[in-house]
Amino acid sequence: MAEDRLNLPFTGLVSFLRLPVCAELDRLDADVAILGIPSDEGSPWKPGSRFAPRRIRELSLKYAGYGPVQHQRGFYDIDEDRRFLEYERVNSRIVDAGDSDVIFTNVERTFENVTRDVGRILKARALPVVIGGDHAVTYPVVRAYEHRLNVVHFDAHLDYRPFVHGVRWANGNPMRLVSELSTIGRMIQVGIRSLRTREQDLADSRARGNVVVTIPEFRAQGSAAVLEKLPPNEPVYVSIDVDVLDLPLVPGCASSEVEGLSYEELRQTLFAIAGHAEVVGFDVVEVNPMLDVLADNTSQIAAQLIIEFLGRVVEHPGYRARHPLKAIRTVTSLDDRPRELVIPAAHARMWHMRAGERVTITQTKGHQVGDFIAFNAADLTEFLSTSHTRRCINKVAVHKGDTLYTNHREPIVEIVEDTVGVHDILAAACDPYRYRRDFGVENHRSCRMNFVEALAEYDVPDWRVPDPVNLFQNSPLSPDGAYASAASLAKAGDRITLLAKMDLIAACSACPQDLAPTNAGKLSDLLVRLS
Amino acid sequence: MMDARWDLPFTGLVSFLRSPSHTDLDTLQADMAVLGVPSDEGSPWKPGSRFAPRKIRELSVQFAGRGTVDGQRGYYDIGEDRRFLDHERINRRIVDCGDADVIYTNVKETFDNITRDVGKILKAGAMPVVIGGDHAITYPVVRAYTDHINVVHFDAHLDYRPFVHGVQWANGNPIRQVAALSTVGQIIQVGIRSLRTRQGDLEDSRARGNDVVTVGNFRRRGPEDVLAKLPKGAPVYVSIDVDALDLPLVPGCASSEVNGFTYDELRRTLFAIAEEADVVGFDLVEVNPMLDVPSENTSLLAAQLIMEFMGHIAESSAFRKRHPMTL
Repeated sequence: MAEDRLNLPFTGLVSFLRLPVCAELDRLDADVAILGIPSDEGSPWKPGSRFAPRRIRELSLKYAGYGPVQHQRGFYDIDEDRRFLEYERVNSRIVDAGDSDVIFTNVERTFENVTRDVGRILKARALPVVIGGDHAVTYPVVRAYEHRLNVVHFDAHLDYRPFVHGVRWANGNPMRLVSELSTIGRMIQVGIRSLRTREQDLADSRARGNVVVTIPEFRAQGSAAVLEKLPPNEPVYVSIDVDVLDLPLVPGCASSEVEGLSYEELRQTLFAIAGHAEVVGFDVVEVNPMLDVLADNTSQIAAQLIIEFLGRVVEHPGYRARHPLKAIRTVTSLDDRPRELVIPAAHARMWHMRAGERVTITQTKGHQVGDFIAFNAADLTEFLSTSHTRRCINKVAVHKGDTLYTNHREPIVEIVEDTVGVHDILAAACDPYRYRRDFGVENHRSCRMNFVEALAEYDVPDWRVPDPVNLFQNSPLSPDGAYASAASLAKAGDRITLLAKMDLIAACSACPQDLAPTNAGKLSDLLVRLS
Repeated sequence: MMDARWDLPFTGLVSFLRSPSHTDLDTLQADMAVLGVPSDEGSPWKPGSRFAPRKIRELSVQFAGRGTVDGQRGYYDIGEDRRFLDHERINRRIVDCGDADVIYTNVKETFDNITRDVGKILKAGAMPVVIGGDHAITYPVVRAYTDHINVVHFDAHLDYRPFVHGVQWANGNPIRQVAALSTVGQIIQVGIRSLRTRQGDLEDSRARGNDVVTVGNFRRRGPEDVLAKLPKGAPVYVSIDVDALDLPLVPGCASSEVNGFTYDELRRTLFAIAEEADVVGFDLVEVNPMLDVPSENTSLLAAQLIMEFMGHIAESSAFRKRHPMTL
């Protein structure tokens, strides 16, 4: 085991959020891929955005968490009191794919590299998150998409210049280039305000049917100005020029303009888009570290914007359907896991099992109920379900030889040994509401919250904890339907053995119930042994 | 009689507001004592806040008045059409005590020096006005108080990191340190918004009974929300991390964050605290002149904030009772 490190943000090798690096795109295995495009040949004013991918990566380290010492992998939004990107970070589902190769003096070749790289990311079914570079890079990114998509473009400028005087790959042209792609449906341009706007470019953009949202229109309607024109749940690509933000927010930008969006206006609009449509990729462009203040604030804002937007994008049901919650980490770390563990009284522990492995749960002092839950390690939305099990086996109690089923009606575990013979698959886990309503007690430990604790690295909220199999629980059911609560019949040394029918994540809570007869009034440890 | 002087702000020796300097704290006679604490060893990102006391003093000279030529000693707030700090400036009731001695590579000894210096200022009956340094210095300042105090903490970050991996004197720890002092009652943390916030720190802070006011809370409920939990008229220490302000306002700060307070939101909240409670000291920390824009706006803003807060504290009945206007 590696020694704990503080990993202060000025130390160590740099990748976006200290994510694993995979520059070999043909072997990409990820849900999200960060790609830098350090190209600024399309900038007719101050160059320097070529340094943005590197600098934004460096500033992103401030959000990477302080290594294992801090035990925080995603990020926490204090105002919303919610965690984001925890699953993606813990399971290495986001990777840093490095930078597209820039062929200086040959923009077309550079752009071919960009399109090829993005195409490979898409082929690997990962979502591209692109860091420019100047805005010219958006075109070679978007042309890599083969399916139909809409585009939302945040910018102070239309970027719709005609191709005159031998110039078409510059940072004034990308939206006209994008608009000509056969894959592109609706285009919405938001934040346009520069006094350098060409009237004819606006006319051309509107003539195509594009929606142009000026600052006064945005201020009047807020994010609704975008959402009401954006077809819901269709794929959308979002291109963010940081100059959409107000000038003082982005000193490190060669084209910043006054009267732009506040950070809050931009982020709330991005969040609204992420909830409304399915974001299939986005870019953040035009950060120029050579112009920035010494604190690198513009790069920092870009880093924060990327992680905040990404945090919302991965919560869209369409995204989640394509990228189910897989416990990849468990597959790679199974060999050095402990084979035995103790579940302390009134607490829960989590462990991983491969298909074909057995787990034996043993009483230490007797009369201790153990609530048991299990998830498919390849898809955490599939789990051991007591209600499905009851119908699958046509019984309301389980015994040696019985198989237990998931909510997809697949076998997940089988009871292969059992020295007690009395368990329960009817009752919910005890929870804070049970202790409050039935016993008038606050802050009592409960099986449900124990599971939240034990599964913290998978970020399972309490409402997503499945109803458990209550091992060793004695809740006699009478023919008239009466359902009692009695002391567990298990004695010291009694045990049950379960055989895993798939790779799974299991957890068991040594039930903290000391106010009902369930555990005969005294709580004790349980032993878990894998074989 | 001396010739009248312009005393342009780029001329002359520098002290805070050109106040008389008095570095022998055993013979201190003043109502307010400015103390610099140029320590930045607790900064895990860009260092440089060690230069803040010196630079903020230099920029404060812009508010010091043009010497004997313009005959203005305190300052005039045109918005309120009122003068502040005239009595204190004219009667030399504000002094600049210089800086606590920094023992580099030995944070504990530096902090002992700070606590000793602040203790002497308090013993002399003066109110300490502390200029950091990084935020770690708040703890050695607050532990010098022997009476019961409440604390209001303005910051983008909780600064409530646990003491792990051998780190407890850093700029992520001070409020957890302060919270453990037996002298400290209510703690109110205002402006917290960073996405680097550790959830466990928030839980620990709330578990102690601290009130955490996010920028969202503040905007929804206003400054009254801060004051609601602050015992009226009771002694309060105020710690101001300049990153409580919005990012574009404080380029010279290693930890600035978007969606912070406007200058006016912060100053009005400070004025309300000065009026409602009994401010017995404050600090302003985390200005980093090495990162600032060439006009040194972050130091300028810090100098103005310190001066304005001092002006409103001096007008409070609690302060005036302790320091009556005698000539």
